[in-house]
Amino acid sequence: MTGYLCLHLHSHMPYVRKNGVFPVGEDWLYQVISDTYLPLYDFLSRLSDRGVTNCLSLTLTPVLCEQLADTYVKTRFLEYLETMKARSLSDREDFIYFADEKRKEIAERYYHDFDWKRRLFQSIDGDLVGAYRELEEKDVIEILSSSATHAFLQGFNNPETLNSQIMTGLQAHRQHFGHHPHGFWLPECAYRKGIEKILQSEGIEYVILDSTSISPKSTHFAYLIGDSKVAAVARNELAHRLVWNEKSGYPSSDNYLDSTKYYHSSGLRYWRVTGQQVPIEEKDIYNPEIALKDIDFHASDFLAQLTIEMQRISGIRETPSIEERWQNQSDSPPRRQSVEKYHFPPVVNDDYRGVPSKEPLVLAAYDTELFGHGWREGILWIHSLFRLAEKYPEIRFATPYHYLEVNQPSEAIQPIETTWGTNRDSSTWINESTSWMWDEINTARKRLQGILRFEKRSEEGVESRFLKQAARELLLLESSDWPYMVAKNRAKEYATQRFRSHLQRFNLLIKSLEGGLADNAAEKLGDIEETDKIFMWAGLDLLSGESPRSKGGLTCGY
Amino acid sequence: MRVLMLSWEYPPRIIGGLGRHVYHLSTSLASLGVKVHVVTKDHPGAPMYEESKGVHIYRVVNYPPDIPQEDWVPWVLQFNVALLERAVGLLNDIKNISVIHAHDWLVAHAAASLKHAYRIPVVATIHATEYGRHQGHLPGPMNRIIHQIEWWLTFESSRSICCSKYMHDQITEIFELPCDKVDIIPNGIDAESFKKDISIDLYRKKYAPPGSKLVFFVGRLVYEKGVQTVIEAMPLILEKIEDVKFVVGGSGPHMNQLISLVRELGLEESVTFTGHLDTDDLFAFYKIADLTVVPSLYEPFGMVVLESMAMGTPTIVADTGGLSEIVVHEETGLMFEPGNPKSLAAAILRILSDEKLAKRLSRDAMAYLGDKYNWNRIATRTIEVYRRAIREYEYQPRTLKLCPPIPDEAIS
Repeated sequence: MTGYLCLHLHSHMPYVRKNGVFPVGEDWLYQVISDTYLPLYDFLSRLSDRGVTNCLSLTLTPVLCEQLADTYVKTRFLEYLETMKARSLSDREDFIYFADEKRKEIAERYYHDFDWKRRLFQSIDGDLVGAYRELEEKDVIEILSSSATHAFLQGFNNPETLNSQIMTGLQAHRQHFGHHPHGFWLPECAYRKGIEKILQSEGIEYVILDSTSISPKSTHFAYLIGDSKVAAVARNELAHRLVWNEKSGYPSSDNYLDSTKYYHSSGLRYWRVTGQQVPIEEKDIYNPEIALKDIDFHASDFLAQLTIEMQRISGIRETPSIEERWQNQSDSPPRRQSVEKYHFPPVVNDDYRGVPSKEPLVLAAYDTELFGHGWREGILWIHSLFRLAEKYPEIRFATPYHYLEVNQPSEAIQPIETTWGTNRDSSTWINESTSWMWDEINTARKRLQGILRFEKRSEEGVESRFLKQAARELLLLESSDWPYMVAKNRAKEYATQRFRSHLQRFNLLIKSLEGGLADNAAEKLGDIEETDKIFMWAGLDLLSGESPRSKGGLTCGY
Repeated sequence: MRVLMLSWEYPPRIIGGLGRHVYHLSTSLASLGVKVHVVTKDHPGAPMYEESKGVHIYRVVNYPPDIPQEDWVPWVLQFNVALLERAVGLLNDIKNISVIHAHDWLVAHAAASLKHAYRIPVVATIHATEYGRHQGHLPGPMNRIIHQIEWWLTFESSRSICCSKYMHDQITEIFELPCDKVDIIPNGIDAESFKKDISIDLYRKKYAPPGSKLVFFVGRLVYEKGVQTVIEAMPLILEKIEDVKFVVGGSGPHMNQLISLVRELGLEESVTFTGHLDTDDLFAFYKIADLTVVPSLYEPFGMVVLESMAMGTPTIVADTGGLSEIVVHEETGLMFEPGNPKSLAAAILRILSDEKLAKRLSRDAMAYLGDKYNWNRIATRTIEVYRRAIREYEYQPRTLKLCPPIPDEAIS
């Protein structure tokens, strides 16, 4: 054995429950449950049936868990599946009419697939959180927590925000999974100086960082952050690029299902990528059998590349040039257009000398939703990794916690504040197009603090319900999703409108408190509580971050 | 999760252990939140539909004409048509049934046709096999047909459940079933019902007067239960201890042969046939017996062993099938060579003459039972099997030409 492969899947969906349905809104969540969370559970259970343990780690963000555990979401998801079943059948009718045998078959597959998912979902009584919890109890996976609503922590300076996001997140994790997590996912891999102090005091043992964050240190080993006991493991660039590169990553292979072209009436997909340059109207019909062959091919390629990487790190192999690598691979993957497109980023310096006694690790971290939802064949690809693993004895699968147990880090480093976004900095979330959002969030935070600090409050009664709901709206405002969608122009209108509506609800709640409660205030509050129903079990201290501890002046390095 | 359970017996209709098994499984599943719909054969006085302990029970009446029970296979097929009629109505009304659970070949046709018509996975519990019931022989054409239907049921099922390693090995061998498709879940006992207080004075007076020892057997009187071995062992026992009574509880086709054997050996004074025992009788006999003997030649599981252990009665079992998986020789009971009266007599004499040994065995057996054979646990494991069946289910159209194999040695 030469090294460990830690496959980490970061699962997150912004809060969409009762906040719009289509094209962006709840439907988004239902698609991801259907495309990713359910099939992934199925795949992991199959590994579990075969007695496999320590397969991979997952973040399930608190805001995602809250939605998955919600009764309304469960019911609506079943309705979604029924709708999709009906749409598949109606597509089938169309294709029979067109005498299009190929697409008719795909439509039938869709139908049976949705029906299978319905049965699968009912077999766990709709309790996906519970299903993943069971997998963790059987040591198949390790589940990490994250900040409550996926707040981009680099964007905040005041301890209350950090406290409320982290502590509410951890409390949610305990509620859903029955125990304290070992690891914490920093949203967008955005390390923030001093955050390790809060995390350490909350019992967190490690975080996952971007490769750039620990530069020039090698990502093949774990480190301690500053003078804390919190360990850092960083994403591996090679693993990242093999999958994630938009032009040459595995999902862009010609034979995989094209994710951009939809059948007009159902929204279902029937075409393959065909070719990077092929215009959308000229795409070929998808052939699942041919796609299947590529999956094994890409899984072998991934494992082979990582094997070389691990051998290189362990000094078994001299660093070969990239050209040599392709030549050594007799069966070079078809996805690659040219060798030049593939290059190591200059930011990563493999300075692993000095830590030779530790076993190397490759941390491959991706968004869970890529698999199944973004890349239709993605979960099968992960399946292939495990199936083919025995042919690559140098690689051993592990979760980060498992790795850290046997390779306790001793070297301390001070990470840099980078992210996994564009340019590896904060510009994806904090930029000209989003600065107004940050201003609004800060103003709102100050308003809430003003009320909490200068007015007497109790945990009981209608006033405290107003305060708690205002704190919830603030948490929802702090999601990294809204600035991301605005900056990247992805459903920008929806994100803007969502941000404004939470702000409006926040202001309404605060105004009602300041001006004394109006007659219909309770009714309005009830409506808002039903719409933004998240962390309903949490107390005001937790939601607002104004716990006694934070008043003690816990600062974060600034 | 919603399950359609198919069984040819369900209380109050009790023919053998299967009905009780399905009852305990269904009610335990219901208590864990699973919605269970049982479709079963009617019974005088039982309603056509009832909800009992969270389980929905639907009873069906057979189609005409009356087929005598000797024509076993036609009778079963006819029953399956009635079963199907009811289940189709049910599946049309209740859309979200996730899995069909079939108990033995007696419901195979209904289960398989529902599976293909509705594309719902089937889980089958194989309680016993025809091959095993006849000690590895399939003597007549009917036995072969039953064997083939059993094979076909496991073929059509996404997963099969059996109660012991012994049965697992048997069905993977004779049905050529992949090991990966079979789950072992031991049967359970309802420990609560064994805590009942029963007055035993009358029984003691009648069957075990002071100074005498009582050996107890209970079960269907069929050849493979091995009661003949005990009768043959009796003279050897009586040589050493004079006043030993053997009480045979239960009835069955083998009864007359057993009675003639008793006469042949002149044991009329020492062997008593009680006929069918109801629950109270059964508990009373466990209480007054000095030991329970389970002499089976074939026994997939051996519920009697669990009952006897739960009642604190020392137990002697034949070293066969599921029995040897429950009993640890010299620790929780004694074992003997199946069909060998000498071996059995020696074991019985040891317990009857060594009170310390008897006490130790029954105490350790009760401790061992613990929660291992608890229905809640069995239901939890069954839910996992359902989930796995649902996950792994891929629709395959019905294969038209199937030729279920018959083991060569079974016909010769």
